[in-house]
Amino acid sequence: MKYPISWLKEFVDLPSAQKTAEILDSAGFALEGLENEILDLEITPNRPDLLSIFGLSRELSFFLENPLKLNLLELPLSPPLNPSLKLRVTGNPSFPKIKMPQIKFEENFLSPRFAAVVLEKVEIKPSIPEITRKLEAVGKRAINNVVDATNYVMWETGQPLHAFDAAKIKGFSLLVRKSKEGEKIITLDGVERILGNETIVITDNEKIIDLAGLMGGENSGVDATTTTVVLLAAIYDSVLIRRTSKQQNLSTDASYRFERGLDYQMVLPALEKAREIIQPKNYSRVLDFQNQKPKNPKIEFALDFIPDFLGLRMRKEKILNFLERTGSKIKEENKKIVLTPPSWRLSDLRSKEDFAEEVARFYGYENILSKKLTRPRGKQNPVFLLENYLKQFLDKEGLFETITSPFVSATDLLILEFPREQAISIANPLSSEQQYLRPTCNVFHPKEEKELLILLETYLSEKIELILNRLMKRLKIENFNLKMTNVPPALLAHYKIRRAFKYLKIPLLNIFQESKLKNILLNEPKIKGRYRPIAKFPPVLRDISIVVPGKIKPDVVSKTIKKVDNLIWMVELFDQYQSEVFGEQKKSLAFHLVFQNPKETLTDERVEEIFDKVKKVLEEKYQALIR
Amino acid sequence: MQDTFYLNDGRLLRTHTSAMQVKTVWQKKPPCRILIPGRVFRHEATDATHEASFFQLEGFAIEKNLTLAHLKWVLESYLKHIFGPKIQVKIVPHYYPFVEPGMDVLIKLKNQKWLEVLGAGMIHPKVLKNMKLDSEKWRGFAFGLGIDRLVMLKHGIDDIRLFYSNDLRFLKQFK
Repeated sequence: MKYPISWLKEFVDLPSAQKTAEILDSAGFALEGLENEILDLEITPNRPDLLSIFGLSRELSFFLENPLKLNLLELPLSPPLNPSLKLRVTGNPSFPKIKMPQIKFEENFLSPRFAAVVLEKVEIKPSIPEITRKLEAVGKRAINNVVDATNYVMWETGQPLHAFDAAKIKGFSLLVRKSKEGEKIITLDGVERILGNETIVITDNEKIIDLAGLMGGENSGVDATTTTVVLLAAIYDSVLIRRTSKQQNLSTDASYRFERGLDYQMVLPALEKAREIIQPKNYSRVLDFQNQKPKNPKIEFALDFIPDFLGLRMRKEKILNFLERTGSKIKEENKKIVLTPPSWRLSDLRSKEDFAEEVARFYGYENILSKKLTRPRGKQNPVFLLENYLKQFLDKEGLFETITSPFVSATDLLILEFPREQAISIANPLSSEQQYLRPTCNVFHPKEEKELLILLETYLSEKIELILNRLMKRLKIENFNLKMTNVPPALLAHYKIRRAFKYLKIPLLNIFQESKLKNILLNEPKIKGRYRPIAKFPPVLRDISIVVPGKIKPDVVSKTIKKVDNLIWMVELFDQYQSEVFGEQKKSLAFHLVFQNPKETLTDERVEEIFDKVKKVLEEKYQALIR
Repeated sequence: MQDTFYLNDGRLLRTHTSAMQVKTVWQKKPPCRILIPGRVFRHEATDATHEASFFQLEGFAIEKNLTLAHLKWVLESYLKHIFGPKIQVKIVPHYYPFVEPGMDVLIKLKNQKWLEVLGAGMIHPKVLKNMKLDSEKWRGFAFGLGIDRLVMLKHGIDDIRLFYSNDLRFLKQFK
């Protein structure tokens, strides 16, 4: 959400924008952007009280220990809006009698609080520059003074407001109820919506005029002809708002706030502020329906709990100071404290752990000294140990470990000859090629066996079989004769592979149960090397054969070649042999050279250039004879 | 908060390894310190930093006297072990529904920017209750990290999809 710093400063004095951002960051509100002195913050779902300029100012005032310049909750309400002044309908001559709408509720929980006021002789015109400026700064379009006032006040107080054109309310009566399946409404965005049976709606005598908490109806909105406005500030049931928002695929600033919870005490001040901005020539008293008052349980715990839980020492005065800064009322009773959370934190401060978090936040997470966790040392899961051991063993033998996608297609299942009815299918796959879960290799087999799959070209399989069987002996796994199987020709043909492959599945659980192995020592694998991005442009391959003195080591030569130019991506020895043909104590080495430029296609000239340089270097350094 | 894959048989694929906490504790009663590595699934478009299936590591401990200070130590020590003793670590408050207090752990990258690598917190009393434990008696902390992301940071890899493309040119570099 966007917070212009100048707007925040109307409520609390702040240090520099940078410092303010730092404070908010350590308070748990990550900065998503800071441009033109407007803070863009990530507010987590547990802090709906911060979804307003005033809310964030209040939080900052607690952190900075600067007093609030203006507390909206203590905003003096003008007499008609002040319910504590018992004004009769015929009341004060300064406020001539105004016809009030009749308001009814199907069920109390639909709208825990609903306050309405009638504004007469309203002049519809553009908003004053200050309001337009602020709205545009936070990304909202200015429309007219009434609509703008509702948006402005929502942004400033967190309480969404709605304005009806009074003339469009048939029978001047409002009913708040649940929708019936199939009912329709055209909302202000021009979309016709078909409703289910769990949407909160407001109706007049004949039709639905508002998708409560989400968007007003086109048929009742304020326009250039409006002279009398029914302005309402209400709190709606957050569960039903969320359901409707999902069902209608509609999310608005208002519904976002209703879903997360509102401050019961902000309803009247929000109405008052909006009325001030709109400046009707005449306005009614407020109709304030407190259909369901919020529960406000007190939270009681031993004062010692907080330092214990956090793992630090803290003086009682400091703990109490931090707790006060949540806005809660505190009562001390011996070593216990009883806390009453403020109206704007009811959904968030409900347990002693919630309060411990507040203390930690004010203290500063970075200030909490870490405490070493003492032993005992944990035990490793034997199946993991065995798996890791086998993997490292195979790695040393030159095999590569791969991790593949868990998703397969219907075609894949066919080729694997795996019956489709037995495969686990996904209801909302990413694509039709990824509709099933791979049924082999310990990911999602119905029997959930853990296995290791080894895949090799056939000519290598004998060697590996031998090695594996020797390994099984060393691990004292008896009666285990591993034999590799041919990969089905149909599978190879499908992927256009022309060479023969064999595979072997080692069932890990089975082996472990068979083995008498107790302790397997695990060496942490040391992985060297910094990754270099694979280029998107095709590589160029060249081979070079050289004759060098017998004592020269091939990897030294490899390194030398690689150093010649950055564009030599890889050097690989593929042949070496000794023969009298080359002369005494001499041998032949043959290397594959892979040239690659990550940024653009390599030209032949460039490759030749580098290749020539390589030849020169080898001749000079090793007296090599280029074959 | 995340997009979920649903299966036609009514189950769903876990979006994070935290899903394993409760089940594990039923079997392995406290005091316990447990690590759970595993695959997770998110219904998201894939790009250089997002994959539909990747790996997380879940860790949690439940004992009689654990504190936030202990959790801090575990996280800082772990990151120093992976990235070296000079790595700068920052811990800030954050919200996760199953921990209270919750936090995010960030490390400073070479370009001076901070990046989240871990989410953690003290196990929420409601979760302890679901584990059939008395939250007045037992204290727990938990953390979760994305293994792919840590590997990418440690080795300077810029595309998560490389882990699953099985290109030998990539795999060869780690022999």
